[in-house]
This record gives sequence, structure tokens and C-alpha cells, in this order.
Amino acid sequence: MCGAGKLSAVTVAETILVFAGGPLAVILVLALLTIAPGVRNRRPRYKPGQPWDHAPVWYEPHPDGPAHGGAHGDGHAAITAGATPAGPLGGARGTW
Amino acid sequence: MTRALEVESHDTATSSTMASRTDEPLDQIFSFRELARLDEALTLSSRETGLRFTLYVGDLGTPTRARAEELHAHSGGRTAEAVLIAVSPGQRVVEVVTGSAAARRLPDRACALAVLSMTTAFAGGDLVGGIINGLRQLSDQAGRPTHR
Repeated sequence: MCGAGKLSAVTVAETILVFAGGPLAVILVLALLTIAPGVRNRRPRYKPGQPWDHAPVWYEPHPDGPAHGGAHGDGHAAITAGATPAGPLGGARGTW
Repeated sequence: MTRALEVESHDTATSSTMASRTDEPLDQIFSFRELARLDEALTLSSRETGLRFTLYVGDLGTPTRARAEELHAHSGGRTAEAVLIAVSPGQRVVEVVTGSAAARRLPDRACALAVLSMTTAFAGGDLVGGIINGLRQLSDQAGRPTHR
């Protein structure tokens, strides 16, 4: 019984819009939220077995105390300074 | 009220001076966040233990141990208390070299354990995480300096 108003038949286009378009839109939004952050900061990540063609870098700790600015170019100074023998050396090696 | 930061450049570099540090090319190996983590780990472990930890990332020659020891001898300061972690991702080798004073506090077994945890992380492609874990293990093992 339909006292309030007249019911009209649903067209095929409306059916497709509701039952295919709606879920598709939801899926697209979720996929975008998932993929977008990874695409934004894409960086060549190290994978074992890849050749390593970066220039060698040598990091050293900051000197003691609140002194600043001296650590940046010290690599060259350290390299040009003479070698100091350090007695018997210890250590370990690992491969992967 | 918030205002946009002034981003006007105060670059005074000329052709006869060095380029400003902000003009240097971006480091392609590590992101800034990873560099900050490495810097913090190196500085804190060096400060806690009194040893001098340095980190080399790059190619080591064919006898990797010889090259690493050569680098260790050139690491500046008191090399007896220096600890060099040399990572060569291309050769898949990591070398830890300890000076004679550092070797007393960091026996070779402790270094081998740290190296093992580093290589595990490296094999998974996590260079920075492995280095930081290795540094943490080494500095934990070395402990605090007894005399100061």
C-alpha cells in the first residue's frame, strides 16, 4: 500500500550508479590515501646486492661541549693529519 | 597571530668564497631524518663512553681489513681510543676496528656480536637502523669511562 507518494521504477543507469559507482568511489579514495604518502617521498632505498656508486662519506661525532660549527669540514683535516699508530688493533668483520 | 617566516636569503657567498652550506647538494644516500639519527647516535655513544666512534660508509678496497685499519689510523685525535665502523654496502662488508685502548673495553667478541646484529639489519636493507643498533650495542658494552 502506497499512500504517501508515487513510486517510480529505477532505471538501469541509476542502479549502476548506486551499486557500482559508489563502491568504486570508496575504493578509489582509500587507495589514494594508501598510495599517496609512499609516492611523495620516494628515495632510492638500499637493497642488498645493488652496486654502491655513492662517494664515500665519513661521519664523526660532534666534539665535546657546546662548541658548534667545527665538525663540518673536519673530515679533510683528519685525513691530511698524519697517521698515528694505535698499537694492536681489535675489531670484527661481518658480511651479508 | 602567526606570520609566515621570513625566508629572505642572506647568502653572502661570492666566487672567491666557499659556497654557502645551504647550497651544498642534498645528500642522496640518507635523508635528513636518517642523518640526524646517525649524528645523534654517534655523538651520544662517543660522549657516554669516552671513546671516539666514527662511521665510514663507502667502498673499501680489496683487502677490506687493511683499508679499514688505514682509515682508522687516519681518524684523527687519539686513535688508540677510536672505534671505526666501516660499512661497504657494495661489497657487503662491515668492518669494526678498535684502537688498543678501546679494544680493552670492547673485546672482539662484543664487536662480533654488534657486527652480527648490524649484518642482520643490512641484509634486510636497513642501513641506518643496523648502524644505530650496532652503535648502541657497542656503547652499551663499553660502558662509562672509569677515570674522569
